[in-house]
Amino acid sequence: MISTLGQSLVLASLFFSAVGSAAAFQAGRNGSESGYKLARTFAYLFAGSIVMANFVMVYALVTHDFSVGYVAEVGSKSTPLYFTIVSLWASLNGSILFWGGILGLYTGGFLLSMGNNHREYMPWTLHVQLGIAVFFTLLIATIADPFAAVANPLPDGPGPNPLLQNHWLMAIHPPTLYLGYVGMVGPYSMICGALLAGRVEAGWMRPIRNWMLIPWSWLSLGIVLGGWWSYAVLGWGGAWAWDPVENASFHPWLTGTAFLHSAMVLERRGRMRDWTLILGMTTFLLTLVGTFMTRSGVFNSVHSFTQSDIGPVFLYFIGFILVYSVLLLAFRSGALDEASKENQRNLGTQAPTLTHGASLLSREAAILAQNAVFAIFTFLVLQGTLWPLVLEAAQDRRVSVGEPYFDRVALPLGILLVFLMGVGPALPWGRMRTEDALPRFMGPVIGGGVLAGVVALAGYHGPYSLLAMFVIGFAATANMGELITPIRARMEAKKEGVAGATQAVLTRTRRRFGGHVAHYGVLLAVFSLAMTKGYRTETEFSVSPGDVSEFNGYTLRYVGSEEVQEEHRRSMLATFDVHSGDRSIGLLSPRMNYYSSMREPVFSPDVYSNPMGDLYLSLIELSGDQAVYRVIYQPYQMWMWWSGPVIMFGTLIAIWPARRRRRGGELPANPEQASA
Amino acid sequence: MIWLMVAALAAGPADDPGAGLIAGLPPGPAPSAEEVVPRTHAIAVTLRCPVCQGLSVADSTSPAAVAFQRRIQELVALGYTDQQIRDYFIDRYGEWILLDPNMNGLNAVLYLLPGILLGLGAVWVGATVAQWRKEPSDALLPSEVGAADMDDYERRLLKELDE
Repeated sequence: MISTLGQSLVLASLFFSAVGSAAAFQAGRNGSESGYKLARTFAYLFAGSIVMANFVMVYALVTHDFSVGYVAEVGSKSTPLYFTIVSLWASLNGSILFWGGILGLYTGGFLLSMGNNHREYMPWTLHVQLGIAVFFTLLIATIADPFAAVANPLPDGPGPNPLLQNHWLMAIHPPTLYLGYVGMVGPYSMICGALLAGRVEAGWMRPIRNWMLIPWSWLSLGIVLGGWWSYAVLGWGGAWAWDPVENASFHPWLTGTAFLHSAMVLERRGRMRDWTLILGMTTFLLTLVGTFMTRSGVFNSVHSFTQSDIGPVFLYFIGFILVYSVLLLAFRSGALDEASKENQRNLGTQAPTLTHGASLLSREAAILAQNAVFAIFTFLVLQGTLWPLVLEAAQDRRVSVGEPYFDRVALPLGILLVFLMGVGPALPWGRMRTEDALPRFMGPVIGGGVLAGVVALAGYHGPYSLLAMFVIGFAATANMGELITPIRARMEAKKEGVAGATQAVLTRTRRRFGGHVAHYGVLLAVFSLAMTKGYRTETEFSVSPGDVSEFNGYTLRYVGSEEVQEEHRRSMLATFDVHSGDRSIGLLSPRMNYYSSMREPVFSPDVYSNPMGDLYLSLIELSGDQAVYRVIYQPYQMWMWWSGPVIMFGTLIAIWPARRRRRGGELPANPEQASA
Repeated sequence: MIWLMVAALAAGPADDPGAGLIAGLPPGPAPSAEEVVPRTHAIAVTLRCPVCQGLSVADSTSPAAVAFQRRIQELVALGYTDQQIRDYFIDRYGEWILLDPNMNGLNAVLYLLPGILLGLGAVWVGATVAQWRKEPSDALLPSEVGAADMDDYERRLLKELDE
């Protein structure tokens, strides 16, 4: 019954997306108003039915309807309700359904926000977006069907993957990442829309950049939450191990970040057009590659590849999107050239004259260099991730590429990027004489020196960390300047107070302001990373009850162990009474969680956090009275977790819809009118 | 299978570690006690925990990784060099056990490409900026068509910053 309902909804969304995509294509070709309206209606119907299908699945999970294939796979009556709901994305078929649901939400939100604007781009955009929806609904309807009926349902199921139930973060981290991954369909189809329409104006780049910012910020948050989960659950005391699945989420983040910057150059200066479009398209492709890497099982074992139904199909789709994108760029970028020449002719003398040309010391040159570094970074991480597969295929030689290699690659590139994060904001767009440009670096250089000095005085004075602290301070100061300069300029120009000027700047230059806030989020993460990578200390102790261990200024007294039985797991706890000097910190209880469906226990650490650093306890062995445990000190770890919310906050400022203001003036308010 | 190997490794004869297991003899005297722990850690960081996903022996808390660590510590204390110890593990598990791949054969690509790409990137940036410099100052850029989106204040600010 539920199976049939779910399957019908999936088939309906397949139908709506297919017909909608075709109608949008037709509307793009003949510019018919009714055709576009029809396509939009189908898009809303697609969104509605695929989101409904997700709710039907949640209903089946919550009511433990084991006649539904996916519920039989991941459901269990002993799983707490919260984890039952989130097991929607606990396994392959459910997560693809969830993927479709998020695509539905994005499609609906996108259409609502666009209203009746951008009419020449919208049909083409919708055509591509719904076309991608066809592929995913087809997957859900066929080889990844989560609603498949079970002939003889059992009274209970095995429950979701224990790692999912081990921590609340695991419930939040995957949907956050999905919101990042799936949302990249938006900018991709908008770029295809521009190419198919044969034009790309600044007025269209702006919404593209916004629709990139939304998934990009989710992706940032998802990556940080994933790191936090790994830190809080896996017991090794780290957030990032350069695991293939982690790298999979990092690739689109790198290209997406590059895109957000080059899109600014394109929008304001009309440069780097094709490169920007390629970056946007690549970002979507990399999310597909990431989904494939995570979901096909290629990386757990190279040989499970052939056993997975979805892997090869996904690979074909990636190939198709790649070919489609390359052909579109090859055949349509000429049309973009034509359109912009025509625009210039139409505008003629009405065009404002700003100074163009750009020197090496200019914001666009800094962004260009940053883009180059991001592209190289992406390529090297992707190459390192795929290298074991390549080498096994080519020479039947099995190798690993892991943390030491990636760290060595990431360190210089990361330092370069943070440095450029200060150079760009310190410089204006366009042309500038070197002797005028150099004084702008005074403040940032001092800021960098101060931070490096302070950290060195605190006892952290390795050469790499000093360099890292210098560039972080450099970038932080440069970005601060960019926040303050406009406020000061406004105070002088309009004779306003600090509060009034700040508010005016915030409401009028939201995008700029949000961008600088997001920079601070990234700086927090880099700072924490540099400190934890450089100054993590750890040691192991073997203790009996009553034993006291000394570590890094802390004293840890082993109280004893106990066993705790919960509905879905059995845990062994070892409890420690922890003091810092004379001050009591309380009890910390690292544990081993045993789940019936897993042979090995999950080692859950216990952590005492404060802004200066984390004390991290992890059990290694518990036998009789004896406990072997590892204790780690991670300086400034907590700051890493704050980077995600700060990036989100910056993004929110940047995309917050501006009040609509009617402006007079010589320029056409709607860019499309200019060329009509 | 891997479990058997790990078990054998953990139970390895501590009194006779050299016999047929490791190439050569310790070249020098045993290191001082303070040296053993950091050296063990440095080696453990470069070896892959055989039962984990991409974690190093140093990071993982799994029994297999702990057994590896103890073995490394023993060998370090006996005076073997880092390379001898790594070779010992490669002998048993293949070069797959190295998280930091050796630079031999095709692996050289991993080590040469970063430099080559950085060089190419620098050339690309240089060439592009050189082209931008040549552009006349009053050329009309395609973006100006949509520049209406920039408000007056922002434009003035940009100008201010330009000056």
